[in-house]
Amino acid sequence: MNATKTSRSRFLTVGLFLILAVFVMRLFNIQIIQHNEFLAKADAMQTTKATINPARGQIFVQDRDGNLAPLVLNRTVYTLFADPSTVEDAEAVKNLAQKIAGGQLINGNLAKLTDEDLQYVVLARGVSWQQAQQIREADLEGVGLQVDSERVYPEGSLAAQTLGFVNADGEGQYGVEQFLDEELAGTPGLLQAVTDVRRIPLTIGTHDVSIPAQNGENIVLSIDRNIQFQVEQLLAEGLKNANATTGSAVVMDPQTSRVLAMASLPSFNPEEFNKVTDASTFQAMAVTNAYEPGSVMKLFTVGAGMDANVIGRESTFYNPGCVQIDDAKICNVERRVDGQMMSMTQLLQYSLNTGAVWVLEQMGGGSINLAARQMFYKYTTDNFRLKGKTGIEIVGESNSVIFPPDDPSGARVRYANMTFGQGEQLTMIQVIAAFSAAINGGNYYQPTILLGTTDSSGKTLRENQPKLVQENSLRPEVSNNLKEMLQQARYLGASGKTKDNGFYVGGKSGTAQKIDPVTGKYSDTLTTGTYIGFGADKTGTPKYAIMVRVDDARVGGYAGSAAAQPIFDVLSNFMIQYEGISK
Amino acid sequence: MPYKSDRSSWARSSNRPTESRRTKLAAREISSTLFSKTGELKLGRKHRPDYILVILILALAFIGLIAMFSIAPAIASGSSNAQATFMWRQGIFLFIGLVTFFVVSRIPLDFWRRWGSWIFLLALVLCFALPILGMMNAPVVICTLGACRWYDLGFMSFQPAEFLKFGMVLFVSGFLAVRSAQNRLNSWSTLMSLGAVVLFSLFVIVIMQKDLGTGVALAAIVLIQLVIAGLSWRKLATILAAAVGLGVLSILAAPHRLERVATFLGGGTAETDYHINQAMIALGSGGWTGRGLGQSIQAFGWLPEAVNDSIFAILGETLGFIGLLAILLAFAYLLKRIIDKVDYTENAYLRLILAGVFGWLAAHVVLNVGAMTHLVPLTGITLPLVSFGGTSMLFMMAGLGVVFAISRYTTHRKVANEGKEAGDANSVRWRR
Repeated sequence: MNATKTSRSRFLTVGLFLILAVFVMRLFNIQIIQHNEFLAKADAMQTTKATINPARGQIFVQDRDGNLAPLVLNRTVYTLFADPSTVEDAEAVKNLAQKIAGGQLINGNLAKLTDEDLQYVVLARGVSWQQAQQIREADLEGVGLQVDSERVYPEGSLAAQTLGFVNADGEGQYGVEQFLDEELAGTPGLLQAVTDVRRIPLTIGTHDVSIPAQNGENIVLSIDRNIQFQVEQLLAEGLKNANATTGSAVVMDPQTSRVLAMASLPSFNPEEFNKVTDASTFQAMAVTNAYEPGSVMKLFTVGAGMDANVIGRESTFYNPGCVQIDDAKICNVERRVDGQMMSMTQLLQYSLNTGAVWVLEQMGGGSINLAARQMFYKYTTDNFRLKGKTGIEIVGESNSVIFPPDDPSGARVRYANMTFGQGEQLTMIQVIAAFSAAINGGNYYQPTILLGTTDSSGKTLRENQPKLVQENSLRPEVSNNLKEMLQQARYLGASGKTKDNGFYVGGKSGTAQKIDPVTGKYSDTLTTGTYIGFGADKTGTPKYAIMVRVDDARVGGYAGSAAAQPIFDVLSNFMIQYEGISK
Repeated sequence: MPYKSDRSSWARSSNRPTESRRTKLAAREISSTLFSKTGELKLGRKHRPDYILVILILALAFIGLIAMFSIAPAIASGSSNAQATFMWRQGIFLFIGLVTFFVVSRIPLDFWRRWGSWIFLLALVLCFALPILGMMNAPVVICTLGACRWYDLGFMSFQPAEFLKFGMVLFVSGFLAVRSAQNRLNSWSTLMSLGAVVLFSLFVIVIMQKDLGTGVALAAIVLIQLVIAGLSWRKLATILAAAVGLGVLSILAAPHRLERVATFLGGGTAETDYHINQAMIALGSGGWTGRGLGQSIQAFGWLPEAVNDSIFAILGETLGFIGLLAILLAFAYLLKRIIDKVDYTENAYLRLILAGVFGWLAAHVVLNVGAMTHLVPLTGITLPLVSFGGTSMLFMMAGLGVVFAISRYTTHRKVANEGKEAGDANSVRWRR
């Protein structure tokens, strides 16, 4: 027994060394052989990638003097959320949320507080800093606040459809917000860093990444705040007078095709977009809705005829009252001048359908043949660029519907109708842009609502210069003649009602029958009244173009002259005053 | 030299006439293999102590200090403690530890022989009182998660379980040395009485304080002392079997323990799983040379107990495989130097102290490193000298101080050759 005494310490040493050898082998396995796996594990666990949210660009308008006024700003708000799996006192959380953020609660989510399987429930959005502070002071377990940004609209619903809104996910919806979402949104930054267990970044990492967020661009719209305000007021009043609820108006600078105002009613408050039930309220109808503009198109027909030299300003024609085209009989609305020789200005003044058809016939040497249709089509699509989208910076722009001249089915009747604005569908923005070209000497500019962009500090990034896309839409002298004819036609008037106030204002009304959604045919009661016109200074330089549309007016007379024209008139008077135009 | 005195004491004892008092007399006389005529511990010629022990101890403690320094910001960031608090406190602990080491190494070895049992008793009482005071919510007791293991001394916390290990080494050394000299080592009465004391201590530590790590360390200390004392392999096997049997029985008696065993075999509880997983990530991400000092990421709250029980994993992350190899080699060499002295120490009592300190240190290293490398269940035990902790540092230094003192009395020749004869001679004589 004692013989083993010596070997016992040796035995313990060997035993210990064997164990330590196992440890060393184990460490070799963990630290060397599996090093990469564990390193990857460590990186995956210790490294946090955080997106730094950029500030969304703000949207400004200006006034005549170039003072910027914000339409859309940002506000820091908080999202109140709970982690039901760690909530200790669900009742207390519920009471706190109701007491402090009762108005912003998300429906039904308070009930989820007791469901311990959930880890993230949004209780309220848009919580203010003060409210957030109160929630922090309550210091309840399982409740958190997340910093968020929210759009603020200092001007309320002004230009709502033009702006659009930003949804809860931070995406631009409708209008400029959606069209320029990328520019407004900016580029998120990235923060990749090794963190401690509470996810606080450390400074000791070797492959940390820190890319700052690029804030979104600020947008300056070509909208003039004062004009926009007036347009919305006067349009609302005009619609009320016409017993109508739906209508749109566009004011444009005819020299550049910059939109100075654009409004559609009914409108909405972008701050409360989620309360809107009818999505069509979100749409800038002047851009997103193509319709039959009616007789306002006669001015383009006359202009095209003069430009093609198939008629002249002094041309006259015999007005039979009605003309038969194939199986269709086209009659005038104004029947008091049947059987008379009419001038081109009278064609516009009395809005004679027979005259418009006559111009088309002149393009074919006397009949609505293929050549006539092709010429008319060329003016419509090439010169006036009424086919295809204009490219204005508002989402959801509608295409026009224009049938080609060689369409086999009823092309003659259709083209006869197109001379006075039926049988085709156009958007207001297409028409007013073409109108601007028709009166400004023939230069077609791409319509735009964007004046430029600035960075978040206000430095100009991009100036949106007027983009001339088509010269000689009409020859300058033809444009000038047309302008004068529109002025005369407006002041004489079909009913002789319009009084010459001495200003250089011209225009044309139109009333189109609408397709009855029930019968699928042209309705006798549902109409769309349109008025398009311009105001020029005393040298004849057009200063503004206005287009007004009123749907389903319930008013005596024709909607174009009875419902839309009065709105044009007051708007035009305002513009004369605002722009300081003299007689 | 010892033979002479043995013989003389034997001669004296043989003069005693009464048969009935024979055992008692024998005990006293037999003690003379351990003690001199004047009753003092028999020591060899005093010489220069083993300074290599000091160098190894300082090296390991210094590594601990460096580790503490390098992760101080990380620990500070995770708590409200001021920056580098841990390093300074560890520095103070180390200083107190070193003072203790040299003071203890100057205390005559006879002191421990005289007072060892009382020291053990004091430590046991302190351990025993802890959970009871804890139940009474005494302010002086610190309890976490229902386990009361610390006294709050204001400037530091005091863990009597560390004291108990030191006391256990002294007590068992004394007990076994006498029994061995009386040649009653292998008797059942020896094992029964020792077993009773050890089992009671384990009850206090494992059941009352819920500190399995210290329990295992205590068992390891006694077991290694028994091995060195010369208990027959058969008895050792019996004790092991009894321990295993006791464990199985207690598991079968309480089904919830069975569940616990099952969870351990299946990977442990979520908490220990997390701890081990984080330790492995720390080690594994270290590679050959580690991330470098001050570059530990796991110390930033990922790895629990980064300064205490998990310091080895943090060192693995910081210094890599090479660093850990050096640390393990230092421990291995330190342990070897301690256990090697057994063969050069004549006095059985001192041999058992060496064995006890060896077992103590080895158990901590094996349990700690084994847990960090997922080879041994996690029991929450410190890496001696390196881990943060005042009490652990203090008593480990005291234990090593005794070893250092013993190193003054080692022989030039291996005792083993003589010891074999001596042992034989003794046993033969006392059987006569």
